[in-house]
Amino acid sequence: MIRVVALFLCIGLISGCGPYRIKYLQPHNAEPPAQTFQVVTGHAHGIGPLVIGGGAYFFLLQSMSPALIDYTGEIDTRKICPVGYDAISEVQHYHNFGQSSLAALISWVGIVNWYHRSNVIYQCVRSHPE
Amino acid sequence: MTRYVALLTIVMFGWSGCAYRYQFNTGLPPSGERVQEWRHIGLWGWIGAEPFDLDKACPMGVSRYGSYINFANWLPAFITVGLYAPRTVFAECALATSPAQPKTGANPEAQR
Repeated sequence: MIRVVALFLCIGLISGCGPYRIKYLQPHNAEPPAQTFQVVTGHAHGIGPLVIGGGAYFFLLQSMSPALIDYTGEIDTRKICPVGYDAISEVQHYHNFGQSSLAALISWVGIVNWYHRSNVIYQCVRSHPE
Repeated sequence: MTRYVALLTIVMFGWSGCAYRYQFNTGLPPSGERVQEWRHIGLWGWIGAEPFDLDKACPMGVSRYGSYINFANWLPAFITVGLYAPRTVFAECALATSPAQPKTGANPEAQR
């Protein structure tokens, strides 16, 4: 039994889901060659209204739920870059190892996935270098 | 018995925590045109998706974009236990404001 619990915890630490990295490109914003500045922000997701239970049951119901909660909400990309950077050429959303593991553990320990964090990287562009 | 519990644990962890959605707004007015595509992701998210080129999706600019999972995405992920877990990406195109595509998505103060 102890072995099972230990295995359970180990898998919890190394699992969760992978990075699920998706890039959104706007190459026209990077022309002509421009100065860039990278901004990294966090994004929080959470439960849907139908979630009961953890693990696979959580996945089944949460994935089907159209009202999955996006705690951070819609991001206004005009407020991301510092003054002087007038466009964004690339946005990348992903989860790192710790975020994925934490999401998996929370969904098991807390029955539902109350909190699920990810990162967003913005490539800000200054098209008129000073 | 222990073997089955361990296997079940692996399967369940593979399934948990991967459902989410997010959305970005560039501040440009929407035109009503919407482009949706699947992104093919494998091995519980470890094999990555091809980038979504917003310039190709919306040549006149993009108003909103983001990603979510719908039932059609969920079904193959469920059947394959996360080995194949596609997501939907979308872009809502912006109203054409000028013949040249405007730079979008960041601090408008910079252009003043």
